[in-house]
Amino acid sequence: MSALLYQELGIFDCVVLKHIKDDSFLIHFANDNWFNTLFPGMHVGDEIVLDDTPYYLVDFLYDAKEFWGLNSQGRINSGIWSEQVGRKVLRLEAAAISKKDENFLVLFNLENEYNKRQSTLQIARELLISNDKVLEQHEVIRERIEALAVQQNNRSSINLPVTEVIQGAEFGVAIISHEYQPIEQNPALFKLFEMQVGDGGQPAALLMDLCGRQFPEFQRILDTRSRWSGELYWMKPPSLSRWMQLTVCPIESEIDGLYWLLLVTDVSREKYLQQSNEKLTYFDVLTNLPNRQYYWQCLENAIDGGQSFFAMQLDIRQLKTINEVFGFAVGDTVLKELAERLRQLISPNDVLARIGGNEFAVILREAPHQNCEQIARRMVSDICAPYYVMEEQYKCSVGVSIGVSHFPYDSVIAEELMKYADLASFTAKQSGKNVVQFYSRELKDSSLRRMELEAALRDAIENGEFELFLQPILDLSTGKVSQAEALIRWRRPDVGLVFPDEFIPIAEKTGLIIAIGKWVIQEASRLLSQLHENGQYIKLSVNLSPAQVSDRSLLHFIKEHIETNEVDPTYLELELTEGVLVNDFERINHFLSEVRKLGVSVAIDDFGTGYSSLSYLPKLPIDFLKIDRSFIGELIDSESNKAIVLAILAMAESLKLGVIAEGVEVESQKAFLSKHRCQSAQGYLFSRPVPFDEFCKLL
Amino acid sequence: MIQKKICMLGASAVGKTSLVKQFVEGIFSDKYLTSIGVKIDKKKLEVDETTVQLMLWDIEGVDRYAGFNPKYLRGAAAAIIVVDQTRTQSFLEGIEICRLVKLEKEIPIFLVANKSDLPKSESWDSAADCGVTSLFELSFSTSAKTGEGVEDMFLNVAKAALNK
Repeated sequence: MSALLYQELGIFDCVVLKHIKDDSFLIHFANDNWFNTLFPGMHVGDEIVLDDTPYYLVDFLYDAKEFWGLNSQGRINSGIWSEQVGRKVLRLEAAAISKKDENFLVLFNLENEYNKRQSTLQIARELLISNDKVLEQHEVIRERIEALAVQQNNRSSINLPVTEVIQGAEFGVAIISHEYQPIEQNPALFKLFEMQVGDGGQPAALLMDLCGRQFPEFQRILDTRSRWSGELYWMKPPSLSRWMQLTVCPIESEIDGLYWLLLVTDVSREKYLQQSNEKLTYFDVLTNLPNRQYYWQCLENAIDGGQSFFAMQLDIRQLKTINEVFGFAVGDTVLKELAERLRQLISPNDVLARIGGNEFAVILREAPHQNCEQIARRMVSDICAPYYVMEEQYKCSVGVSIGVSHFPYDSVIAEELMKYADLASFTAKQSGKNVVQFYSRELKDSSLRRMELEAALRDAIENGEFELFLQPILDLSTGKVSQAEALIRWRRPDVGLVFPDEFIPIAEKTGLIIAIGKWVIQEASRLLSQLHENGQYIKLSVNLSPAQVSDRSLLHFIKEHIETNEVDPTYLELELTEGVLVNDFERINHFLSEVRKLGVSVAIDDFGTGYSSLSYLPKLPIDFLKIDRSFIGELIDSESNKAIVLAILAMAESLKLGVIAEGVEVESQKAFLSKHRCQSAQGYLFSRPVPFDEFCKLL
Repeated sequence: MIQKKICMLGASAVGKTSLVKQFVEGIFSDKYLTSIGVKIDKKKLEVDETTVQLMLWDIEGVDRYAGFNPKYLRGAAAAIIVVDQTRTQSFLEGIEICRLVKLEKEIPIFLVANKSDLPKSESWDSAADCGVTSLFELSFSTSAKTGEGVEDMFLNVAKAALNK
């Protein structure tokens, strides 16, 4: 009686089959509405044999029998399938259940669940595909323009090919200068903002303005020349509005410096589709966490609540590598697990959100028992712990930088709290380590100083503010200057002489090192030519950074300047650190061999401090080893340093390499080196690095 | 009669269901309706005077909402990995699915670049031209919309399934 009632109510919308033996079952309970469609002519109490159809169910019986064989309580499910019976389609799922030594196969009709799930997934998948297409189109244009920027040889040829590429694009494209002035704006961009080409409208300026107002971190992205992608909302009263997906990319051109490329696609349709489903509006479907929009609301609510809290921003690194190496499915799995690890660390009153592809944010309420720093450090260690993927066959890991701002101490405005947490997270990321950085006024000041320095550094190349100082290297047997190391200095207007340890790390991070490195080679070639003219045949060595070695045009550049300045290439030397050598042995070997063919010699700088894979040395075309100053500094008092230096000298002798000791400051060091047949030395004992004119006087 | 189970795999919205519908019923709908779970369709074919019934397992697209389920490969004689030539991302996902199938089972795997009636994505050729096609038994270009290449593709799959 009750079963009939339940059936009427649709509660028991299932078929229960009791397992008898092999493929035979007893029909124990059945919902008449669809049971007869699936098993025509069968009734409750009949025996049924499942050995052919429904095919999916018959296939599931393999799993079911295996499960029943385990004699364990519980159930396993088959997953949803669609069964076409004539013109009717049933949406079904089966479960194998064990209860008190009896085994049951239960079929559920999931018509309603199927429809609900399909309606959500339909939207989610359309969004996913549309997003893929937008990003793919943006990427194609970005690659083309970047390639054109690198290929162009002179300023007059810039605009023509780039214009051709962007004019035909179906979506909005703008190129703006580093001073944010429009260089190109295509017709599609004008159309997006309901403007006409030639009517004086500036869609690119409007875009930049929208970004600045809607994304607290946008200024930092521009200041640090980062790449960025996000969604913008534009409204033209009284009734027109659009959602746009924007990609912002810095494009570096050797001739023209920095451009910004803005790629914009109208995603209003997708956005409205998304908004028709509340879950998709506020939650990230992958992790089930609140999304950026919802997080923003939570942040404003938390501010309204007045209780103090920390706004944390977590920037996850190496996800791109995981996606590239293992595929997106694995990347997604890692993100899900990472979200779960984070969820475990916060209390129910806190908010955890996924606010970007690789960004998470947390509102951590301040409470007596909660220590933000401890929690943040725990987050770092939990996030960085390995992830076992692909059925636990592989291990991968990610890094994280956490930035934290505090309400109300740092700000009482949501936008500023996010901006400050982003700045702190970026600063943490710059350190390259997995660290937690709290926002502070000093942090903002030092970040501003660094950005100013970056900007000044860019101008320095153009304004000719660099100078090469030369530090003599002495032949210890004759006591005469045999060569010199060229060291860069920056005469910064209104500041004075800036040393490389202050600006080279920034140049390396911003990519300016390529241009600076080329200037050094160019200037060293010029000085060498001047020395030749003076009748001085002294070898000059210049330092190469890892980034320079990766620059494919470097070899041609060196050759060109040797020829232009008419210098004897045997008087030019390139210095590389050990780390550069082992990074990519094949490529470095090829590069050095080509350098050698030009007649240029090669020295290993800071030898002994890096990755001491000595097996590399005999295989590479190297001429000199430069013993690092750290070994020379304590040479006399440290027995181990003495042993290391002697070992390097012995090894160099057997490999027929020359040796230069760096950082020689006292006579006793010089005496020790001379005694053990070290050929050359440089250091303050002989001379500090000096301007070219002064160096000439030392000869 | 010989029955052969064939698994239709691929990212979402590449046209797996449309290919099956075109092949089995000869119809095509432009409206995209995402599939959930599995649907099995069957069709008989004559291959070298042998009648073979293909059991086509149309499996929900593998993406962030539905993972790859290796159990679906049980008893399969071949797998068809469908990719959408208007979306390069679907090709990369197809390669990933191919790798997962190979980890699970040694069966012939066919690559089907669907939607040949539409222009290829601009980055398609550079992505597809990286030697990965050697992972597949054969590659086909099809249009579930016009029917171009569909019969031929299933016929070749049936032949390979029979010879397995």
